[in-house]
Amino acid sequence: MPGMGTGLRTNDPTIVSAFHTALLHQGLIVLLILAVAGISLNVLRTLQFRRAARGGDGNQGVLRPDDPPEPPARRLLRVSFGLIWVIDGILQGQSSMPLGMVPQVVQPTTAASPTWVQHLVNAGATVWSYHPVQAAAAAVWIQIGIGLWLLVVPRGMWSRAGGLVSVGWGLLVWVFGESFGGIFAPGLTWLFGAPGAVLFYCAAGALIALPGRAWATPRLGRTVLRVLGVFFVGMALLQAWPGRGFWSGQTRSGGVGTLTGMVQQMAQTPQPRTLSSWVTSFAAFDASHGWGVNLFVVLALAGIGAAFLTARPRVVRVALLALVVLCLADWMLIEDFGFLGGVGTDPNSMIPQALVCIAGYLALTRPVVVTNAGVVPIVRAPVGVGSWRQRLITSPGYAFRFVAASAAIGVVLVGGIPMAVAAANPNADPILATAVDGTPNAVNFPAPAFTLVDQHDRPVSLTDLRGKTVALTFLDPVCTSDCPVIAQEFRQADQMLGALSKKVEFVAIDANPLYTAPDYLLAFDDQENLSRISNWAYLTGPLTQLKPIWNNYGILIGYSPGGAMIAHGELAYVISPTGQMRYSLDSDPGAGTSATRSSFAATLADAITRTANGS
Amino acid sequence: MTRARRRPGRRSHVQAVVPFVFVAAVGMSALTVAPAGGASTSGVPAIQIPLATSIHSSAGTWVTLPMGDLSQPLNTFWQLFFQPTGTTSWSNKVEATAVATNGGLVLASAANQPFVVGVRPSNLLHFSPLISTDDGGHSWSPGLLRTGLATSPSALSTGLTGQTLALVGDGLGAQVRTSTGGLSKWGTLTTARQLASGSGGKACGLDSLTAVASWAGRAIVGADCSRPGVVGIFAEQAGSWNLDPIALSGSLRRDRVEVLALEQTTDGLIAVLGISEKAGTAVVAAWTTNTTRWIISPALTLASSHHLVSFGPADGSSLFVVSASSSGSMRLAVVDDPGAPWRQLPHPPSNTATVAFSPTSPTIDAFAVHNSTMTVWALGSGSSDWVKSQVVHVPIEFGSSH
Repeated sequence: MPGMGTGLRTNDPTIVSAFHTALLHQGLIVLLILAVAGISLNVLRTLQFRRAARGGDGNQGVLRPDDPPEPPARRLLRVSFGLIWVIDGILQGQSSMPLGMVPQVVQPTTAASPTWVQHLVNAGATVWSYHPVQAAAAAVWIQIGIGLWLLVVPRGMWSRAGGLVSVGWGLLVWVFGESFGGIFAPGLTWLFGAPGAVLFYCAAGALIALPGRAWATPRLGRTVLRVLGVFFVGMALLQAWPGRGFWSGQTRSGGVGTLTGMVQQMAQTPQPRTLSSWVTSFAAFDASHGWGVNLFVVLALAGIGAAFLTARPRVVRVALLALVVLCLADWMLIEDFGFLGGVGTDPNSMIPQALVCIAGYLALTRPVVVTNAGVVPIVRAPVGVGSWRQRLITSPGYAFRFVAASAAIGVVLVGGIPMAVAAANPNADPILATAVDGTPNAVNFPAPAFTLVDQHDRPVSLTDLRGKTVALTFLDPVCTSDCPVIAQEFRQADQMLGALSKKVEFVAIDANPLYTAPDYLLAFDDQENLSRISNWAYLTGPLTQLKPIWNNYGILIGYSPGGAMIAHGELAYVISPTGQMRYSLDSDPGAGTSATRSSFAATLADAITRTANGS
Repeated sequence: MTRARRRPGRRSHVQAVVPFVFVAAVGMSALTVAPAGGASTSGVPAIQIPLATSIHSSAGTWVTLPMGDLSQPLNTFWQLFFQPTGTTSWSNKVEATAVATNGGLVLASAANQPFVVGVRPSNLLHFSPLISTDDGGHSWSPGLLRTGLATSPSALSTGLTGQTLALVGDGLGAQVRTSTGGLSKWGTLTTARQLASGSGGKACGLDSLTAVASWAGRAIVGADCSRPGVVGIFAEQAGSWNLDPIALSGSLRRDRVEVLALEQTTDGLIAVLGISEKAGTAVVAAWTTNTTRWIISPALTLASSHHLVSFGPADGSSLFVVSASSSGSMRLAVVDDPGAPWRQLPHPPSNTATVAFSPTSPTIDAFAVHNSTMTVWALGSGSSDWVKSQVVHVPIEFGSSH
């Protein structure tokens, strides 16, 4: 699928090193932001105390009373999901994330989804594949930033804003990272995290973003529990639906049931041996007791859902206990904790949804808080007066929240800004080409001369091309893999050059000793849509003429046994308008994905530009 | 601690909508089940026409077959083995193609004409290079088809007059090209759409073209007809194309017929017909010496668990068919003369890709392939046992076409 992945190994040292460097540099900026935040807070505190000491705030030297404590349900959501976002951000820092995220996390889920989902997700995956270092680093800092935001800003407008940002980023991750949590793919099941872990992050963020008055009555808790109740009943219905393979551990044809197959696949993920053995044991248990396992799951989900729908605290309490046990068992035996191996990016869905359920229960049973002054509904608590500037120097709590939120936004932007800049560039990061082929070699010697005929049988020599920068390579017109890719890279480099293209000639020389007639070159040009490019010349000639040119340019060519194509060196050269060789580039396209193709084109265009500009 | 009173009669919109959303989502998810693959809409699977075959030329016998990792198209490499007339040893000539052979090779020969090999397109190559030799593979000349050869062992045909026909493209986009000067200049003889719009095409319900033959100075085109019992063989006559009347017998008239190949023999032309039945596939051979009268063989019915592996000309005017079951057991059947019954020969060794009948001796060679090793098994006249006669290790360059 175009855009899906780069084809490079996930532990490619060039990319991993660039990723670590980016994290280090951005980490230093984050430290700077935190230091500035600390100093700012200290300055504000000093101003507040001086003002209080002068009695300038009208409170006779006493600081304004701060906001009352937040409701326990909200605090649970804010702290727990803040921690989860931070953990997710740290998990995004794994070395294999830049190159592994798309093929190992996004692609497997998307592959089973409908075409429109694939197209949508592919758009996001292409951005990641084209800019893997910036994307992976952005994911780290954005998630750590959101986590810190939720953790350190407990209430007020800035805290609610944190919830909204959590919803926004969560939706992005849900759509592009989890392919809508796989809800449009076959085999959807609560046991494997449907409808996606991040959707619970979004739910938590939305609850955190609610105004204070929403937490003042049990109504919010009731609503949350009933929504969850419908969700669990729906998941039970889905689990019980016949024909989806969950009612049997083994099929009549000797295959395995849907759940057994999923768990067996999960056991293959790299993970601690003990965990793997638990997952494998459960797969074996399900294989032999598939019907019983599914019946238990259906009844459990339906029972929990029904209990939540009653919204009666005593009933919900029992159901909640059962749900937590079920979630923990599923998390351990089926979801394999989600993050201990492979390229896990979050602890999967069980913990987040259990937290949301507990928060719903707390919102139902503890809707208001008790302060020293007695029962005070949160919404009626004083939240400070005057402009935000006045509140900064009169309210310690507001000052802290303002500074902390600003620092968290700064952390988010540390990842977000470079990613936004990179995403605006439609060409892939040249580092991909460097990872595949190394860096271009700067050289300086006269380019070997040649005189051949082009695809239209017109004579062309290097001398004829004086005054133009020449990008030269060697292509086999009947090649089935690399040469068409290299030709497209040349075509793309031509487009990247813009106006400079008029001063550049893209030249390929035939690299097949048998198919040397211009007809083959024309067929190749037609195949690759090169026929209409005015500055494209594909040259050939008799073998007696071609061989010395191949030798002079270091291109080894030979017949291959066993039905393989002609073997030939894959090099590209950039020759200055005066006929001096300036750069030699390894043009092996590697896996030849659109990302590496675009990356090489950018590298080639850069070398051509430097040569044309005489630098 | 205080609790807010519930307001009777008031229900949030969220509470009202959510159940419906979930029921809809659950229903949609439940219905989102991966479709079972396999059978076509008509319930009768299309016949997969095998490319592996053998062919005789004036210099010797040629065999093409797939080797490597056959489960991966880009690691499957087609080979070209040659046995000069009068010898017993096979050698691999595939290197001469100078191109990756993952898409398969198509062979064509005629007495006193160069032997031609067409390379089917694969991966990013969309056209077909050709090579030809008239000295048993010592030297080769290249040719070119600007459109990819069709997936058929009869996609290329060379006639005794030197005219070469090529079938390119697929479905109703298929074209029959004729050489107008060597193997690099081609003109269009007819197209699937032209044939489909003619009276013969309408009578046949033409779906696609499957084979070409340059025979007796005329162009013959085989087709896949959607109308049951109609055999799609079109013969050119004075610039117009006529559907040759071939009458199938009995129950075969109710089934869909596909022309799998058109084989030239020393005595005439054989049309290999594949008939799709719900119980399996039947193969019928039809002979002609003038395209106005065809002699039909009895049907060779393959069990439902069997599939075609290879077919081709045997010796004289006979035809061989190799089939295999899903468990790997092989069958070899031969029909010797026009209208004669099929004759079962001793089961060839497992993994046999094709067989070759010697034009000068009563020996049959079976080519068994395992990964990069090809083993030749010989069956002597009157013998019931295949004897290993040669082992060839082919240096397959796995991954070179990725």
